[in-house]
Amino acid sequence: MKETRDPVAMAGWLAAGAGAATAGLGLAVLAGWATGNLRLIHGAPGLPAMPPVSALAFLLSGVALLAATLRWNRVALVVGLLVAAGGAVSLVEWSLGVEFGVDLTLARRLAAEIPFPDRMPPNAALCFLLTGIGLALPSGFRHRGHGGLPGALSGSMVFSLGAIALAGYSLELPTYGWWKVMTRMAVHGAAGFTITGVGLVTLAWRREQAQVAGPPRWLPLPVGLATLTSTLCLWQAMEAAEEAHIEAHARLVGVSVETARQALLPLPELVLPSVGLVTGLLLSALATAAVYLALTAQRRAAQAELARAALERSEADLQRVRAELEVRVRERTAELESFTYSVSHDLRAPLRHIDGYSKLLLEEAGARLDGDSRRWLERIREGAQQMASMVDDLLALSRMGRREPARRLAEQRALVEAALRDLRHEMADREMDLRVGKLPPADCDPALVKQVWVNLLSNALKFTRPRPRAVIEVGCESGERGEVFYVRDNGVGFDMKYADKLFGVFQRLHRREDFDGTGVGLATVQRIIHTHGGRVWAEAELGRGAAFFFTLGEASSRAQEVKAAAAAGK
Amino acid sequence: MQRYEVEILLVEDDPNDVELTLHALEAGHLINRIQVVRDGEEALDYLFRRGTFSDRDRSCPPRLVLLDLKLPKVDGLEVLRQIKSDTRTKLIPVVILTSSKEERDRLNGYLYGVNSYIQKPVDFDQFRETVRQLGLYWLLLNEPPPAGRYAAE
Repeated sequence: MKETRDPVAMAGWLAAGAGAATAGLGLAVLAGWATGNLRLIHGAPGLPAMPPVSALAFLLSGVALLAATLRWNRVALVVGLLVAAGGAVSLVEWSLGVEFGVDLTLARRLAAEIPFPDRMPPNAALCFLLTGIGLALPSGFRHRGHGGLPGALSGSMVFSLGAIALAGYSLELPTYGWWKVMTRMAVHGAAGFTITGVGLVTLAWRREQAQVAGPPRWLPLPVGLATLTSTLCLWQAMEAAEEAHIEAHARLVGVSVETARQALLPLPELVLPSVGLVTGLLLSALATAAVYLALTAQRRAAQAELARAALERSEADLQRVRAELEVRVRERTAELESFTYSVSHDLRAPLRHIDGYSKLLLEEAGARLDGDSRRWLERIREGAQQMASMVDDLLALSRMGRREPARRLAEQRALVEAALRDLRHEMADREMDLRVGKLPPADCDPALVKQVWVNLLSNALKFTRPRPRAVIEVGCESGERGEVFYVRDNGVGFDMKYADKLFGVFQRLHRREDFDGTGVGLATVQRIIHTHGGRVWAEAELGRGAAFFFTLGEASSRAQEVKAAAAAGK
Repeated sequence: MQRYEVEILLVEDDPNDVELTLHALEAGHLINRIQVVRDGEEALDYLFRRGTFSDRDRSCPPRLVLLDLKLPKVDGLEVLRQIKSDTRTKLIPVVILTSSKEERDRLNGYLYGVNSYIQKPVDFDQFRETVRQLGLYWLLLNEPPPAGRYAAE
């Protein structure tokens, strides 16, 4: 039974029930007038009667409430306006002290023999006016976006006027009256207004739910208004009670009312109504504020919950994307590995064959070939060997990029010495001045950074070859972002306008016949430095030498982020 | 000195490589008694006397296996694994002679118990010298495992 659990549907049932009860009350009292049943007219013996016009207004109020619940807006508008008009006419009568005789006409028609009771009291008239407006306004002017507020405000006032009158009957306090007007609201009338008020507020809530879920923003206003209305009623009842007390005293002692008032003034009971009024006013303000704060807190909590849910969702999304990315990276790496594997196997074989058969041809048929042909065969072999070293270098470069640096504190001096040992063949028979300055240890992958030193020193050796005496300087200086290592030479240098091409794969700034090499060395250096999160750059002058600088980055930079992400992924 | 029917088993699928390797062995005067097989399956058939090699004399294993890695049907590492895990063949020296010097291949080769790992140089002069030294070392300098122990255990 999903229908009954739906709060909006339940509100509909409640409002319809209130409408039916109100209409039923009106009908019952009218029937009482028609049949002369005093029980129905008075509610209970000895209590004020409900005039027929009130009974009719109750009947119409109930019908209007039912119509509004069923969304028969036109009916609700017309009947609601009728009820409001009834209330308004009665109020005008009271305030002007005139009688239009509506009540009398109706009463005579219904029961000529029953003595005419008092008129509809002003508080009842106000209730009907409010009920009529509260039902007619939202039904007639829906498109103006009044929402539930008019209904809620009128409903809360009607409810509190009814409830306070009911309370007056049990507390023996004249809250069922209206200032000094002697006519009282009938007890079943008070109950009827309580029910109508509940119906109005429920209807307003349902109307609001159609637009926005959750408690309506205007909730503090009806709460405050209900408290205020009750306070005012209570206050005027207490005043009336006090007045009655003074009059009784005056009669008892036989003095004028004014004298009695003067005599009784210091009595604490006499200030009670004022205290009650002030307390009540404060209470209404407090109630309004409390509901407002509670609503705000609830809204904030709902927003926080939404935000938290969204955050959780986005975090989950992020996790998922990260996991997907990791899988993709792993797949790509595997693909790349199988590609480079096949390159290293399959690309070298034909080169070996070109070189091998060229060599065999040279040996077997060399004598029959002329000088040019033999030279061409040598060129073929050189080409094949050149390409083989390019393949090797490319493989090395791709291996460097795939590898995550295994960092530890490494003595750079030891790495430089190891690099120089690797290069001893290139240094043999060379006149050179090799200066290795003070090198601090650094946090890096020693195997990779040794390759950096090898490549940079090998370049320095290569490009100083034309110099009668090579001067190569290795050192370290403190830069803004940590230690800067460098290799400086007095070689042929290069024009700085080509500096951006320096680290590209297969980029060469010199002719191959002048300086050999595949153009992968500096690209490898750059890749290693970048995987360390460091920076590499060069300064040079054509004909005057070159210097290459690099930093090794922080262990806490990219590498650790990646590591942390991987750990979080697991 | 023990007599070997076949001194070198060359496992090589590429005909050019076969020719160039034979040339290099010839230059080192090692061309005698060499058996060429063209894929991994044939190599295993030869070593375990199966298929076309089922009537081969069982007392005469090769003195040296020169093994390429990238082979049709059964690849070189699998051939190596089977050689080294079978008591009949595990004592035969195996030298991987291949294009690749990928870390993975070298590691797996040694894990499976290869006796030596050589990358074929592109420069034919170097290749010839490498093969010559290889032959000299394994066939002349190196002492083979004692005969008759092949089928032991």
